[in-house]
Amino acid sequence: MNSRLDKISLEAVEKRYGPHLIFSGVSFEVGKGDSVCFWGPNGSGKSTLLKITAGLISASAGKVKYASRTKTGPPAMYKNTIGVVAPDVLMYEELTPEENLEFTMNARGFKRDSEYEASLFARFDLEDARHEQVGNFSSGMKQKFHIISALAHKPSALLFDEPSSYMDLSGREQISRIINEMKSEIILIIATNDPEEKDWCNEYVELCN
Amino acid sequence: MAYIGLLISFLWMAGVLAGAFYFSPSAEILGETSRIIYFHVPVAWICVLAFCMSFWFSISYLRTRRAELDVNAEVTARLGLWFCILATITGAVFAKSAWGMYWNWDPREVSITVILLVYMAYFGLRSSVPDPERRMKLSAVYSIMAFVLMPFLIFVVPWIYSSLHPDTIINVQGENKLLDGRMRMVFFFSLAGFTFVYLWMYRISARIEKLVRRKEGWNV
Amino acid sequence: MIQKRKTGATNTLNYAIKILAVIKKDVQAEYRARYAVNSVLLFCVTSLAVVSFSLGGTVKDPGIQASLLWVILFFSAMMGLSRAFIKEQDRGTMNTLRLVCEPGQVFIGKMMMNFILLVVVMLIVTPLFIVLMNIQNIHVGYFASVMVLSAAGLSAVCTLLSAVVAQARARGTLFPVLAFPVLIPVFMVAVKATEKAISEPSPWANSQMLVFLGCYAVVSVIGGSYLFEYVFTE
Repeated sequence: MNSRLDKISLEAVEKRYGPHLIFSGVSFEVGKGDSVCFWGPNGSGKSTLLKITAGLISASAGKVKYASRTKTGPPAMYKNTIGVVAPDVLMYEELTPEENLEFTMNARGFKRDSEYEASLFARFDLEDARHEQVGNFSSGMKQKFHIISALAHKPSALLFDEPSSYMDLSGREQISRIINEMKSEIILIIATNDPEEKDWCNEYVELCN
Repeated sequence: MAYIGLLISFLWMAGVLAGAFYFSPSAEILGETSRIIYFHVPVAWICVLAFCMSFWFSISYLRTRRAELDVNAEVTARLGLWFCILATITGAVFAKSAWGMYWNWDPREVSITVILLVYMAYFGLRSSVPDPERRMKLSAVYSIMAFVLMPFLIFVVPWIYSSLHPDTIINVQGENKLLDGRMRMVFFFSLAGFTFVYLWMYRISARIEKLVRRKEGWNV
Repeated sequence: MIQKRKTGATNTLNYAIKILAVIKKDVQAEYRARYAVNSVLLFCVTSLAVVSFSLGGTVKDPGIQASLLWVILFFSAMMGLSRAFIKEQDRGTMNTLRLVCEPGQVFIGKMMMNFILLVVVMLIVTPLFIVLMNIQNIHVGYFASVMVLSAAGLSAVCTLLSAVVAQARARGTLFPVLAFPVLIPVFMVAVKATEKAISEPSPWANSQMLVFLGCYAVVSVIGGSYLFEYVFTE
């Protein structure tokens, strides 16, 4: 069994690209039911901070800790308990959504829950596109599928980077409905410039240049 | 202190030069051209030493991720590259006079050329990774992989190419007959002298490189 | 909460299933788009044609024949095997791999995929080469062992270097520059051993060459999987 993620904490996290400092001294702690927004102007490092939090890139200094009830560890230990949507976390365009999910679930070592997956596709009106190649999708449809694939393994934390980009009004509504339903059960982190997305969160971390 | 060390190594190298051309006799078969061993062999040795050092710094870098270790690895590799070129040229000069051709596909010639290619690839890689952290990481990985697979080369080359190198000719009759006492003395003095010079060059270049990086805002 | 797969009950089997997922995905994508297979096969066939048309039946020396075969195979490998990670990097799927897989799983999966690709290339190039070069006495068993063992070493080294090159610029030219000095031992021994396989009646007398290729493969797989972790995690 996958132990459930209860807490994500950052301690004095700092990121440099070579000699250039992006940000420093970022510390916060989020637990189940909390929702945090990374807020700040372009180039302030929101996406970078989100990727550091997700364990996709390492911090130049400081620590990222994930904790369940029993143990604390680096993000890599809990990678199967988080769902990430970001502009550079993409799915395979030559494959269909179905095949993509088969890959991600098998690679994680999980059994698929076909009922749950079907309900996700239904909620985003993508049932008809399930067996078409992702490469033929419109940007909005791709984004919807990225969200579906971030939810497919029932993660206990969601890390979203501008989740509703490319989406029309109905798409935005679908996301906000899903997020509001899940919010109390999961950890939610959103990096965004969009006031609407910011409103989904209760707290925020502000970054400046 | 540093000046005294510099003075000693200067005098030492002057001694090596004098020893190589006046003190030491010329070898029996090879004649006057044999004097090149006091320069060619130490230079080739430095080349191998630099290769090992850059391997060591690369491992330490991957373990600790401290940028100054990457500077050390780069500096020692750059010196290694120069010494490698020198070793290849001096080797070719000697080969021309001893065996009649600049290039003979001798095992050592092949091995040193491969090390040269590794160094060139290493710097090719460094110059094509713009992100500094990636550059440090990837070049360390490449340097380690090249070092780990190098024994295969050392092992396999003699299979494929037969050797013309003096020591293999000499060693057929047992101990180094060609090197008499005086020659051996000058040879080891030269080896030590070149190692000094190399370490001195390494220290200076590493200091310069670190100053340059510090000026750019790096924490080294 | 999603259940972890319990099929084999053993960890090894679960790990094998996770690796297979990576291979299966690559095979599916390759089947749809045929990036590597198309370009590599076209390249192989073209270079084979260049070599055989320019030489005709004039080359009888097994040493030269073996070298020509390996020059073709080497450059085909350079073309095809570098794509393993370049494609992922360019399409933005590298982070997806980082999220769903462990480094070892990715390395082994990609290496196996490269191995399969290389064996396919060899299966197509070598028979054609043998026919076009008019090679008569060929010791199939020894020849096949040389090919398979060299392919193992090549694919391990190329998989690691593909991941290295994927994060750099000017990858197309950089890849062979990085790979060649490291692959020289395999290259030299493979040429020699191939020469034995097409010239000597009992090449098994040279089985130390196979042992050498095997050792190289083992060391490069171990070294590669260890170093890959550093390349893969950012």
